[in-house]
Amino acid sequence: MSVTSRSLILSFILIGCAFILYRISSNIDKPSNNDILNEYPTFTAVNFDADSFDKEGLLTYSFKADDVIYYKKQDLLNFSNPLGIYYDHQKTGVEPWQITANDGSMILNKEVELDGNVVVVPLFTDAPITEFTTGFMHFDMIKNVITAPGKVNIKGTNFTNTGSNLVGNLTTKECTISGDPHAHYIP
Amino acid sequence: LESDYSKPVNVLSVEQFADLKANKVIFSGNVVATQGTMKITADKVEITRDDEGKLKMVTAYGSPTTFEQMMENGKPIHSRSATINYEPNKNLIVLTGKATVWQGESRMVGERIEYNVKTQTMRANNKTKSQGGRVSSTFIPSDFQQQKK
Repeated sequence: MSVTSRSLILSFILIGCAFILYRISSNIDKPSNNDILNEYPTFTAVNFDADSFDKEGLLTYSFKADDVIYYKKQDLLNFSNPLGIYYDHQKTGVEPWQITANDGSMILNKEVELDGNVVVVPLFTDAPITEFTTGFMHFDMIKNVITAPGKVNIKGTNFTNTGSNLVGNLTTKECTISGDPHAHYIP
Repeated sequence: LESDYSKPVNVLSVEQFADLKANKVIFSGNVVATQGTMKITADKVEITRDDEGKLKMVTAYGSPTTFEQMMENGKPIHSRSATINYEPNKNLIVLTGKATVWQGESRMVGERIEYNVKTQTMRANNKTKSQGGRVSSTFIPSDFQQQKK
């Protein structure tokens, strides 16, 4: 075999190895689709403003936040300075409740966690309570149950109520405080 | 004291359950409810409010419930009974179930004792077989002499 053909074969082999190495190295750095979905947000937004409607077209939630980061894979929404309004449709009419907090996160249609300065106030008259404040609140959107493990403070027309470890059922409108409840009624 | 009824009501307990639709709150476990000099202790207390949020009824259950209050004459009154019903709008406290009321050395026992906080009058009856269906009261003269001074 002549020198020229030997060098031709050798150069083809080298080119082939270089190409294979190039393919391998570019694949190592390139994250898979799953990695991207897991690691990187699907979208981020500022001054986020959204409304959610039920199947009958009734407005159930409206939701504003300064910053929002959404991860499609986990259906996870992280947000800061949220202002949410929950529209409680009763036979007697709509009873909107406004909820604000420092930060929070939501797994769509499943649960919401609000953290820091959580304040709930009714946006309608003759509500049973006029203000509810706590440091952290979890809202199970499936069972319609809120839980607040820390200290809670509830105000109403001529009463205040403090305690901790609150569980509230928004459907039955019943709530239990099992941590040092203290009720104060003004006649 | 007369001024008690304009004072706030404070209720402490182990657990509290609120039914916002029925405007009812149930306190359970070592319940202590105070209003001025009035103090009720019970195992369970139910507080119902009217639509304006005013106190409508306070019902205490215990084994027994106790009630105490300082009277205008400076003498404390205290009681024991299975239940206590307090209706602020009617100024009425009703003790039922082996009810006993003491003031100083004087004592009244009956199945049901009604006490009107405004007029400070008390009525007892005993519609059960205990004590032969009669009310028993013991008044100590010394309590009266001191009141006459």
